Amino acid sequence: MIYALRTRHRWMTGCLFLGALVGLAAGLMVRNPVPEMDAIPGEVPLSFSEFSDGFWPDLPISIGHDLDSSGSEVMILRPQKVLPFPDVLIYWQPGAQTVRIDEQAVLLGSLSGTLATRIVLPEKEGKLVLYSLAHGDILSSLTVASGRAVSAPSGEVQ
Amino acid sequence: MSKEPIHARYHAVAWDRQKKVYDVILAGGLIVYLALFVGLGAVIHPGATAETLLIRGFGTAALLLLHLVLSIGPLTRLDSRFYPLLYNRRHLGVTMFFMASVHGVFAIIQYHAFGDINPLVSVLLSNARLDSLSQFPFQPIGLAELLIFFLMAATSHDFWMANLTPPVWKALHMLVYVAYALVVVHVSLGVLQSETHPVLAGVMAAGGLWVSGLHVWAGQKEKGLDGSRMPVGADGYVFVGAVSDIPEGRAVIAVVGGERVAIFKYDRKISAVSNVCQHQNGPLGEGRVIAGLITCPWHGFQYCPVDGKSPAPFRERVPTFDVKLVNGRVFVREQPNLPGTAVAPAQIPYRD
Repeated sequence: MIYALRTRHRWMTGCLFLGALVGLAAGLMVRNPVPEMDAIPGEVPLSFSEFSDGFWPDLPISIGHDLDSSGSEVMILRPQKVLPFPDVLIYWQPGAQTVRIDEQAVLLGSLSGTLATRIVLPEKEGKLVLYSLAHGDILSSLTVASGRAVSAPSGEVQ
Repeated sequence: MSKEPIHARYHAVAWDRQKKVYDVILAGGLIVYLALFVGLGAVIHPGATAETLLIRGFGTAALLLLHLVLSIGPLTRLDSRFYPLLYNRRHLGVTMFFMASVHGVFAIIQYHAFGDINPLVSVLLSNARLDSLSQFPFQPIGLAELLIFFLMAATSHDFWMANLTPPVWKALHMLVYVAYALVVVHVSLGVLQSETHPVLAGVMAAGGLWVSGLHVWAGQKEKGLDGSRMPVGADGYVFVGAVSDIPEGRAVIAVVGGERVAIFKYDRKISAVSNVCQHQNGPLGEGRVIAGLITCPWHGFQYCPVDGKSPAPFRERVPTFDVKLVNGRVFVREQPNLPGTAVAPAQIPYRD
């Protein structure tokens, strides 16, 4: 090979190999940890309880209980038929003796058709309030404690 | 055995027995490699899809071949026993391009062909994370290296070297080093971001160190030869060694006037020509005199030692140098003659 070409070849290979090795090292250094599963999680405990009726005498809604993936208890509301109210929202109102929705109320979800809705209730005592957004009216309520329904709905509405 | 010069039948570009053996070994090795990669991959990673195993199988095969291609040059500089590997290196390079192409096409089909935009546009634009090194778009880098390999494979035939001229052809094929750097970055920012087993990174680093180490080693050896310049005498001649130092039918290489000169001994004669073969700049001085013709060790191009001309019908010519012998010592004139200039060989007296 001609001397000038040989010299150029030496410089070119030196720079590019150095660049390649730097690129390789940089790529390895910036690697993000890839999440790995240590072990297959154990079987998720099934605690589903049968749906119970009668908590809402004026509404055809069944109530069941289950555990979510973290083991917390969830309540399941399932309309037995399509409710005659549009846009039914589910609120939790803390410790209320009267039925109302104020600034402390927490929106938990909504009901649609006959689809079951899973909601996580706060541990404290309170009321579950069904509210029709379209009508701007409270439809019914239910006293709950520790995530479970404890009484039939109150008719006292404020 | 025929004494017919290789060049007279243009064996350098023919599909001779050595090339056939070379290609059969190459094809067989690749089939075995791919079968092992896919087979073992399916057993070790039963969740992997066939497409993924094929993409990675062809990709790693191309990577291995690229390392082999880049190792052959410096290996021949370090030890002439590696010359047989160099003889058909172009087939190795074209095969490497084929493997890389299958890898690229499969990857484009797998990851970019089922959207609503052109797959090539998707390769170039689907990842815009230029601000993140770990999520940098490594696939366009792969496309760039594939383009370089395509240009090299498409112009690998001597037809293109003759039409592009050797300097342009050589410059184009030097892009293989750019492509290699891109390959390393492509792998580093691509598969090594998700495949974090240290062996994989270690193998890639070892490959890079191997290839770069070989080049540095060979480069240092060549640099040492270039530095061994002899002083020019008052008559314009340079002492290059003793007659007895030159094996019969072979040459010694000396640096004269800044360039390498091959000084051949044959039939009790001494002739000197440029060390640079006109075909691919191969080292003529590492070749032999076969049937009275200097034969390049790379691809068998031949030149007459007296005038530096290839035998008809070929027209390659190399510069010649005036030579004289003084008491068994060989001197070469620093000033080269024009390519193809006939120079009477120095006759070796029988006492030498």
